[in-house]
Amino acid sequence: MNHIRKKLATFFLKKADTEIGESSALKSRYKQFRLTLLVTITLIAMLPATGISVFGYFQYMLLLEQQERVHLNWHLEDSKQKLETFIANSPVPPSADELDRLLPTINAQLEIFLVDWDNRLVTSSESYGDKGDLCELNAVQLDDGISTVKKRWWMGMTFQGSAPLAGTDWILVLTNDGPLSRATWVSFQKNLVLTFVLFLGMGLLIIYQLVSILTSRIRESDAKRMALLSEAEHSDKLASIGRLAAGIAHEINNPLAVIDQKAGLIEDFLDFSEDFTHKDRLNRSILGIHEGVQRCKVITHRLLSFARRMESRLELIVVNDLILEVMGFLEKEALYHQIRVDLDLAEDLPQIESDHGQLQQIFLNIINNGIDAVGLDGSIQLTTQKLDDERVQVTVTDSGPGIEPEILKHIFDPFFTTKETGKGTGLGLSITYGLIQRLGGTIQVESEPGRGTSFIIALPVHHRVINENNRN
Amino acid sequence: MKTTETETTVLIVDDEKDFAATLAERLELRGYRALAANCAEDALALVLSYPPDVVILDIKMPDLSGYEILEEIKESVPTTEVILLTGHGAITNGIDGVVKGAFDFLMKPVTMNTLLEKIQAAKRKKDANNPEQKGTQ
Repeated sequence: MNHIRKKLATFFLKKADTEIGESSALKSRYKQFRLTLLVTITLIAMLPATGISVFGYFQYMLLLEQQERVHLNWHLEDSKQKLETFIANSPVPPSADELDRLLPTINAQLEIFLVDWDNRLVTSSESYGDKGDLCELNAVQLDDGISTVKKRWWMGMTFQGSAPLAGTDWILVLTNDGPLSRATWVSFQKNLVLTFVLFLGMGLLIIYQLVSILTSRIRESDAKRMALLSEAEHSDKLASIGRLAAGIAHEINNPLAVIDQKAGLIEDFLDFSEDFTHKDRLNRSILGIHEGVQRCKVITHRLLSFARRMESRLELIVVNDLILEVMGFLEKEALYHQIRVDLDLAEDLPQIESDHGQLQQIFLNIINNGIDAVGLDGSIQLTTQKLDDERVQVTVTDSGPGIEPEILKHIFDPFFTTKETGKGTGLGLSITYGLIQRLGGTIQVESEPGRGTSFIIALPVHHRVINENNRN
Repeated sequence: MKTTETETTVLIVDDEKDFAATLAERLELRGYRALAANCAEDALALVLSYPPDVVILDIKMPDLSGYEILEEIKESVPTTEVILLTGHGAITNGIDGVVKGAFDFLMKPVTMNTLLEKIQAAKRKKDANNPEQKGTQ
């Protein structure tokens, strides 16, 4: 039971997931598509089915009619012969009362009576009137003397055979409600309609299910394609900004070196000169220049490392050890901010083929971001787990304030920062994103304002060669 | 002024005139004999006329690439040690240079102390490789 519930839950969740991020226009397009498909398939499948069943129904009716005709014909011939023999053998023509008594003995199975050529009853009939009355059936039908069939489609079938008796003015009439008498016929029709409706309903249900499955498949593949597209767009953007950044960084580095050298020269001269007025202030100014240059240097180096095409040095890495190592760097920082770090490291992790330094940088960036986000007195949880034989997942969850959806969208964009000017370059997560991509992994972020943030990093166990175009 | 490094001749090759000149001046203040060149032609001429102990070479030069200059220097004066200096961030550039015979590489902007350490190390290597020439220059 639990198993089924779980499956159902994941099914619905998945469905809900794919629906996230779809515009209402797109949703209505899917709806329209579904409806069109439903109607088309219904028409294509149901029309022939309906045709076939109606055709079959008429065929069945014809078959029944045929049988009944043969049956009635036999009785008619038989009764006619018997009656004609009786009349021929009797010296006086039998009276109506005599005939009334005689007829049931001639044929006990069917209703049997006589009419004259004006369609008046000579003997009384159970269903069609008394002696002398006009027969309710048009009994004088065929002059060839062979049976005819009277049908009433909606109320059932009454088969009727008429044959003139030789040597009299009478016509012998036999009627039979047949195997489909009124009552059975109506219930047969009811059953038929019910069956038809039932099949129609089931057919519709099956078609509806098929259409739903088809639509959801299409929707899923659309969502996947869109996700791929947006990711490609993103990495494209990263690549072009990366090139731009590298160009700028390089251009700035040269004059920066000149400034640094000039300041250094002034410093040298100050060092070698005797004390004079404002020497201290000059020294402090030079120090300021150096600090400025240093800050610029950090930025340009980051830009370059963001853009740089660095060959990864692959080695086998124990992810848990790496996490512990990174935590070693950040322990003091966490302690200082009174942040509790919970480690939940899986023991069955395979070693992964990756670059140690780059992985260090990735986790340093993300955990450091977490520490910054938590501020004071919170917690960070680090979880490692084996996703499958090919991937290892590391999750970094902080108890910080979370991230607004608007900001979340741009979180991996270069130069996007929410930190004060001078505190962050807005490159940390871009670099992290680029590094993870280069290592063949993926990074996802989940966050809700007020509920903390999770970075989910999946790393391949075996290193794959990545498309050169996406590596800048 | 320091005078301990007078035996060391350093050639600075950088297309950024100000940078080369200022660095040369600062090295001279520290007692080195420093020369500056702003293009490959000047650099090679200087290498031939005043064989330096150490060349500080910018990888990106307008006429010839740093690697080509490096190869030419190594060809004409094999004892000279070359330290590559680059504003371009690629570590691989530096590694390529070292493979091609450079002593080491540094990234711009570089602090004076780092540069001095590298120059001294290069000089020590040169002296170790060519003990008979020590002190003759």
